[in-house]
Amino acid sequence: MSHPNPYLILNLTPYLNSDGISSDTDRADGDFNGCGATYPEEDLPASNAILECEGAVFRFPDKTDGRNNNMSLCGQRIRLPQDNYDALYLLGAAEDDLEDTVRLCSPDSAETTAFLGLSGWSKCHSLRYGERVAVRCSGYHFPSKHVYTDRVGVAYGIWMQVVPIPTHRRLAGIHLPDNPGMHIFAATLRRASFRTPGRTPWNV
Amino acid sequence: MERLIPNVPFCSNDHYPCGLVALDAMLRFYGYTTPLILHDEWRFLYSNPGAHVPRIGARFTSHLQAAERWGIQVRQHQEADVATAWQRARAQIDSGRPVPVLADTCHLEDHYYPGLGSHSGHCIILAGYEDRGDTVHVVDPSPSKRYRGSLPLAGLKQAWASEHIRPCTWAEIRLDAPRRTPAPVQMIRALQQNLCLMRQGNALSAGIPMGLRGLDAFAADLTRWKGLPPGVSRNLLKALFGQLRSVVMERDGHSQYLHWAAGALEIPKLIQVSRQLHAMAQKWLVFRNLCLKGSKKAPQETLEKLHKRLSEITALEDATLRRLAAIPDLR
Repeated sequence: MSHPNPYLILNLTPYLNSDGISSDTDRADGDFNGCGATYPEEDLPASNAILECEGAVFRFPDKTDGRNNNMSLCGQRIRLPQDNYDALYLLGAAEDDLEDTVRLCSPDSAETTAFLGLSGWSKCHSLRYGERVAVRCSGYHFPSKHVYTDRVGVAYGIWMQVVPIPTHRRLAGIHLPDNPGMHIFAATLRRASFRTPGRTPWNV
Repeated sequence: MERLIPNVPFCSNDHYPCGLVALDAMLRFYGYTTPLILHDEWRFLYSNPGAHVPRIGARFTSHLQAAERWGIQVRQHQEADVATAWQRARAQIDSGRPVPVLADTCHLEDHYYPGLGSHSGHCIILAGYEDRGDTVHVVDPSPSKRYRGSLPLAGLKQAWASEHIRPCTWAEIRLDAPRRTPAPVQMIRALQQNLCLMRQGNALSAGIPMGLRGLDAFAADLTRWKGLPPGVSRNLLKALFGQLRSVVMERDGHSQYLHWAAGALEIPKLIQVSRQLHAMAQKWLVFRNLCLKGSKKAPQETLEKLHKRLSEITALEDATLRRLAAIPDLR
């Protein structure tokens, strides 16, 4: 029997540790890549907005200046309501093209690993790991300037990545890698009971 | 008159500085497979002269010297004035040869370059001109700037002749004819040499431990640095961040080289080694990112983390070298 709500939007607020977004009035707020650059707030969905990307739904973080709005991955362990899930959807980007491993934890503490690849945040035209473009930006903020990239063949943005989950185990948590160049803005799980052929949001 | 040289490619290597980006694009324009030709070396060099910031690198020879082994010579010219520079560049274009030049990014911003209004040298490639419009066709092959289009000749000259860079410089690439390709025996020798230098760590130069020994020396220093004042540690981490770019670049490049060599030498097992090199490049990339973050906050905590990370990298380097050594053709 299908669950009435196929998607579980994760509340990442307790895990946010990085401010990667700045408004045009304070471009010095935040630092996405360690060099002072940030996503332009005005190019992104509204704070706490529900964002849909190819069928998967996310809650975009609060963009208010001075607040953390993404997870720079540092081994966060995210607890989940125990259930069978078949896909983890992530909104994120990396400082370079980065690859690592996510650990999927069962209630009995057993772990399985899954590959996670995130392309660099300027790679809108050449996503390396099969992601989809969720948000495309006009450029990026540097404290001194909004740098527009519209005259060159690169575009900054946030990507949707999907991590397939083997469904033979119940899941109780996710252990993210210690890879600070990888950034996650939002995450959603899909319950395994939701299986309607032809309606899968993506090829999971 | 007008002239346009088509098919000057972009470069997709994120870790190259702009000079190598231009070289990569030029070599691919001439039909060479890059970055393979520049990355037949697998090295790790570590030097700590004591009071100074240690030096970490991936090779002794420069990439230009590496290119020479393949019969590719890169000559840099600097002209007395921009009119002469343009005259010579135009003659090259007329002969069908694109011309890498050094330009001031600040002046390029008026035309296409997304930047911060600061002056710095950046390599772009001239690939054509049109006298009627007084324009020049430019290719910026950099992965973060990709541009292909026209610039007013006056704008180019301003960027080219800027006093903030080494003005009026351009590069000429000369290729051996017929094109030099490595014999299998040379490739085997290169792989054997890599294996030898990385495993035995015989310093080619005094005071520079190589390979696994170099990694051990680096690990020992990381332990020592944990006791330094945070300000000093921050500076060290910042310096490491800059230097490790070449290590990431070389591991990734050598991974691609081995993938190619696997086919050229008909040794499929090299593909597994290539994959391990790729994994290693990713680990170095994370290590480098940690250096950057640590240079801003929590340097002591970062050094602790880096030490653990380096142990993992050393184990992977060792395992990969063992895998390479186990290939019968390389014994």
